[in-house]
Amino acid sequence: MTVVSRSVDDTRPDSAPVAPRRSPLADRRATRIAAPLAAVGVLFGLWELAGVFVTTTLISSPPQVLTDFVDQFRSGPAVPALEISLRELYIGIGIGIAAGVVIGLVVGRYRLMDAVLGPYINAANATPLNVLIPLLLVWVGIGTDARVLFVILISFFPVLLNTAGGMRNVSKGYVEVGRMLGLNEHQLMRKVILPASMPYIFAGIRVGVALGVIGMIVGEIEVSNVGLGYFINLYGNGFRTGQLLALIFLAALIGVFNVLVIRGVQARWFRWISAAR
Amino acid sequence: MSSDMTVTATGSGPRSSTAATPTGHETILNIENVCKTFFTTRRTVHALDRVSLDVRRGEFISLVGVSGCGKTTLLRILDGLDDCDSGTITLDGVKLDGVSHDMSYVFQDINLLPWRNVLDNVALGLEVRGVPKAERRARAMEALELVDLASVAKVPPYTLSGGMQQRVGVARALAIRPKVLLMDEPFGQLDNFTREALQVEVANLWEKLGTTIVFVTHDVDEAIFLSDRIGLFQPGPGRLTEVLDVDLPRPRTSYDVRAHHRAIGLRALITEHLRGAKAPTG
Repeated sequence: MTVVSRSVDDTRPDSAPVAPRRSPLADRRATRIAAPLAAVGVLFGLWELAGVFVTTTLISSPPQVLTDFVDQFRSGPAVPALEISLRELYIGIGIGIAAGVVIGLVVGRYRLMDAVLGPYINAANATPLNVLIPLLLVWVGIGTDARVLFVILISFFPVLLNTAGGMRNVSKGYVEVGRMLGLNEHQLMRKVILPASMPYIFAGIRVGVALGVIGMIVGEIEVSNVGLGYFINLYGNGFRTGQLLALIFLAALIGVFNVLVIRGVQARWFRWISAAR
Repeated sequence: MSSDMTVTATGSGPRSSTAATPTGHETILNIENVCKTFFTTRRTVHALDRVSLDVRRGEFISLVGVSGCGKTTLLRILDGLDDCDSGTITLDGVKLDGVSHDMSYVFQDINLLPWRNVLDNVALGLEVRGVPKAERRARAMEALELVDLASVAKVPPYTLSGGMQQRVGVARALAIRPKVLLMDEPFGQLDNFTREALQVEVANLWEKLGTTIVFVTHDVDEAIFLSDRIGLFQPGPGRLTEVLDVDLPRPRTSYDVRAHHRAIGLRALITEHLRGAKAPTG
């Protein structure tokens, strides 16, 4: 059993998306900014309009959600909740990613380690990891520790699998160039195999971070009386739709922020990944 | 170009432009009874059967044959990328074991590393030889100047055309100042015009540097244009059956190679020989 077979297929860097056909209008910079803004405007318009037909308990309304969003920060629990949630999230995915890369490198590098750890990794990856939450509670009790552990676990596996899979998929040609120039095993690893695996490692990190945010919210819904997830759950149970939607948008913003950071890192230091194909 | 870029280790130095054969017949690379068999689950392939050859210091020798005759296998064994089953290879009297630090290889697929710029690609071989950074850059730059690409040193390699990438591949191989340069169908994937331009460039480089070059190709005219000698391979099992002298004046032009009576005779001889060789089936 090998780990490779479980790597995330749809994030393969070499399956470059086919560029959609563009009209001249779509190339204009103003259009590229205006079009998504218009789309958002239409959504909000329809939302506002829907309030005429459906009770606002179910869908609230855009101005109401905006007010609730601001109030969450002014007088509501958003600031302390965010502080707790983000600390959990970034400690969790930080450790999860670091461990995933390191163990992924070991598993990708040594066939024996792959043979020994492969079954456990595949089994764990196939398991819906939230079944572990009760067990984590038994082990470390209700609190930040359990939630951080859960974020670590859930972000760890995609990074591990993609790192190991990426190392296996390094172009044979690159390795031959390294060997031809006289690189020893260690130099080959550092100067050829690791950099060549970066597209896969980034794919793993993108998935790991996204799952980490899910893990953070799920952990807080199930196991806490603090954090974003707790209040989302609370407002939901209380039919306080406006406040609920305000926090849902806040959670979405966290996800968007993470994606932008990863994209920024890749654009700044790993430009070749998107440019070389 | 500074004069120390000449590969002094080969000893022959720049030659006069009319010399048709290399100075002296001193052996630099001795290939003795090299055998190689590949086993797959389906079949056994005798890639090389007792191949022996003395490569002369400073010469340009081509290995020609149909595909599957073992010429690339021999070149890979020479560089240490593959092992041979039996036989010995000695470079300047030293028996080779593993990847040689005194030879370098130009692949058909050049595979420049996309995360390094052109200069750092060329300098990679020097990094692992412990050359200090400043000297590394200077030597890589010299190698790039040799192929006339100093202007793109800081550029990512994937922005270059196929022909330019191939020249960077040559620079990368030259930067370590090899005693022997092994070239494996380096122009096989290029269009005709680019290929001809690069053939001239390689011929000029060889004249300038005096490096011994072993060149694998299945293009007969390319072999005649470039070589002092041509080794002919026969497949199934892969054998080196004949070594021909190319007795044409230098520098050569593509017109010489097409129209010179000796070239015409030589091409007929080689074509005859290759036609007699049946390509291995399956």
